[in-house]
Amino acid sequence: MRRLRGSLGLWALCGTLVVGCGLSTQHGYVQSEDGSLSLRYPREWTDMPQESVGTEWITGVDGSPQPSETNLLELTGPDPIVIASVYQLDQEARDTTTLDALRRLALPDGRDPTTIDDGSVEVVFNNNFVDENGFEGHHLRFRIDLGDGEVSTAETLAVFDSERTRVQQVRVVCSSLCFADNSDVIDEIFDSVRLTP
Amino acid sequence: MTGRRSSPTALGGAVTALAALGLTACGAPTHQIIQPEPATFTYELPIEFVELGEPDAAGTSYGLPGAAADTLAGEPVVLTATSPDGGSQSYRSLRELATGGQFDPLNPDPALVDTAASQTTLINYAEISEPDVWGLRMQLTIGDLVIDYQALVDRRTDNVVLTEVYCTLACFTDQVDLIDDIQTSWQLES
Repeated sequence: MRRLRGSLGLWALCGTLVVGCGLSTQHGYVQSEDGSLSLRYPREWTDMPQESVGTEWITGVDGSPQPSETNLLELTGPDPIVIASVYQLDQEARDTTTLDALRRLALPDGRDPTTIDDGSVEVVFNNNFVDENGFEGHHLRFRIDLGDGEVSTAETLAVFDSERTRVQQVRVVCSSLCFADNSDVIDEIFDSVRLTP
Repeated sequence: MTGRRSSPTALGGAVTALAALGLTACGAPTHQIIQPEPATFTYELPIEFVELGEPDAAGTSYGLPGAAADTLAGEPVVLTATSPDGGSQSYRSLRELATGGQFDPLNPDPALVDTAASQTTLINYAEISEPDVWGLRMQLTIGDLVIDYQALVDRRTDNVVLTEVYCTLACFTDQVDLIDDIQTSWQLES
């Protein structure tokens, strides 16, 4: 993991200088302020300003040709939205937060999509995530019918670090039609996620 | 201990003695491996330890032949139990499992006067974090009884294994190395 983190800096340098480093410049990169989370996205998408509020770091990447901060709030937009965030847990939260509770980060209203039984949600997959550094959480994709013909598909990866002091989350969301059209790109984004202790 | 053993949160699990290991110079085994099922953890116990009675809702007890699992034992008694619901566990809930959900030994409610909480003293607390496992270990006294409690969660399966070694204060002082050996002997099967 540390080697990859170092490589990210090299990639950024190559992207800036375009000096034939042999690495793709077709991508943009996001890395959290503390370096614990990074990912790669298509170069033509727009990295929105990063925000650090208290113990939370958050940024968005907008796949729209007309990017805007309001797009980042859309669940059924025509272009993919990527939200990446890192939350530092305070002592009380660290002591009481459970693995199951991480699924409640998947929807803005705090509901766990895997427990909604009114027929509005279809879980595409819901996989436990554990890596060699003790990061653990859930990798979840689901469709949700928001009514009025609006159907959203979202994919989230939400994990604790091994000490359960931080929560790292990546969420990609847009209309279900958009999601299907961009599924390969979205798969690449999640494949590119790097978690660093 | 009777109240704790009837805890609804401590699920029972048949425990299988898998093998003997640790040969002495004479070739006699000094330890046995136990595996609380269905978890994938194993522990090492002294070869002299036997199952104390039938496993019940609280788990399976081990000790020297004749040691009583439900009384103030003069020798260490080991209780193992498992639970499959690690996804719903937090550090606090793992601590509360030690008291049958009655209170958190690390942060007992000051309002709990004249209850078990007021008679319980936490003397050691440590959290455990390994790539495949998280959990905690703590030592409590309740009157003259000492409990060395450990709760481990397998990150891969979310299985929880609980081990409690308990004996009197004098026993604990005498057997502190043995108790530590038992609690630190856990292995996660690959």
